[in-house]
Amino acid sequence: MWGVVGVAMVAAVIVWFEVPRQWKQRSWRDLSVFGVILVCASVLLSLESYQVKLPNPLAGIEWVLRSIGRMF
Amino acid sequence: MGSAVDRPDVLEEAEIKLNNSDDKKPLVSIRAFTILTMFYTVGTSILITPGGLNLHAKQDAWIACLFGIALDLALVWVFSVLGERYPDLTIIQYSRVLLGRWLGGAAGLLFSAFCYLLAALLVADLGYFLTTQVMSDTPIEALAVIFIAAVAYTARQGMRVYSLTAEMLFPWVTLLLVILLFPVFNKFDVQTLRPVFEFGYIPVAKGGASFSMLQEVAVLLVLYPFVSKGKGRRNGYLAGTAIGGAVLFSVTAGSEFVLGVELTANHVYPSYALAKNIRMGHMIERVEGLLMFIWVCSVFIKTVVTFHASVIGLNQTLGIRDSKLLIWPLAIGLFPVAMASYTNIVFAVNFVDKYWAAYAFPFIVLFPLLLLCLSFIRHGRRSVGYDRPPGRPS
Repeated sequence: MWGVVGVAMVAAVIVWFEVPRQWKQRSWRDLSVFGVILVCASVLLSLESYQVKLPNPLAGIEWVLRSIGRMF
Repeated sequence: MGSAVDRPDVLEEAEIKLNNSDDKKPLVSIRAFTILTMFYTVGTSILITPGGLNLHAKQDAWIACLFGIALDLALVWVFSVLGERYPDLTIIQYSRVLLGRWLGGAAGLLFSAFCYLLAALLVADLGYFLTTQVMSDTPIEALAVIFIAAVAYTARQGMRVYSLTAEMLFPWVTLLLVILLFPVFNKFDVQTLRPVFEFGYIPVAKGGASFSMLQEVAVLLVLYPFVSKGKGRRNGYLAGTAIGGAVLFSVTAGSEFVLGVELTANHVYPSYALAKNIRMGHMIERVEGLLMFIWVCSVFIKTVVTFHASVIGLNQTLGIRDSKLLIWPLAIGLFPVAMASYTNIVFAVNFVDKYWAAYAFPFIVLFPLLLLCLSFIRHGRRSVGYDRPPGRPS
């Protein structure tokens, strides 16, 4: 519960500081990229705050490299 | 009232313009760039490379280190040729010029992702070092949050600020390095270095090659167009790498002399163990705090540069106008990535030792080299002038 609240507050502060200027300049492209990244990061962060085991990017890299090694 | 509200906007716009590559005014002086490169080379390597080198090359670790530095310098020389061919563009931009909009964009995105993951790993590196060696009761998450906040704040202040920060830290780090390394040279003993090439050339070459993959100096090609132009820029890139390499060499040789090969290879952070062993009379003791300071400084600078490079890369591939907009959202994403990547220290050490070189090679060696070859094919031997960049990407 508190994890999500904390993350939402952090996200809200970031939105508070960044969005108004972009909104005034009507840079919708910037804003949509900003929104997508902020949502992804917040979701990951809240999952992490509940100690959900996220997929490990390094394990993925290891797996890819090992499969490439096996091919040759 | 109206003018008071308007003015910050104007200032901000000027700042945004300043942070875009379109502006001709350089953000980083050549001296600052040299120091940035030096910090970037020293980075994490000062703590972890002596272990890896001693593990593979045994008592020839110092030769492997020299070989690795030579390799680094050769790569930097090639990178600077590439950088000077497109003096106003970052590697992300000329990958779009050379590979085309889609392929180049995809390559730029991958390169940014590489930088982003590297930044997350640096955060985790710092966290693991501090929690295992110094602050064993502190949860790693607390350190990571504070560190990420500092990194994001500094990156948001812009390139000029953090290059000046590096310039400011440089004399202190140099002083501390002298205090750290001066007593070590008394321990110099040729006997520890013998027999030379006991296991042949292969382990030495292997150790040197994997050592040079840990410096990732190619990432600095993103910063390269923001440095003041001229011949000094190239020399600064080379000199920074050389100075950083000299520091790494001294630390590697020092750990070999003081700790011996076995102990160096078995420590996760051999240079920290080295610093713990230093004692000058009864006057200077517990200098490991100094090493920690040096290391935190260099990792901080390296993380800021790497993270900023990933942000610049993403901005330029996606065509984001405000260069600072994505810094905070990306920064909060660093935390889960860092925590998910390094699940424990054994996994991390094993990954760096066995897989890092193979993973990093395409990004930090193959990609720039491919771009250089393509550049020679497409634009001929002439380097492209400052005023006429070939087909600036939209």
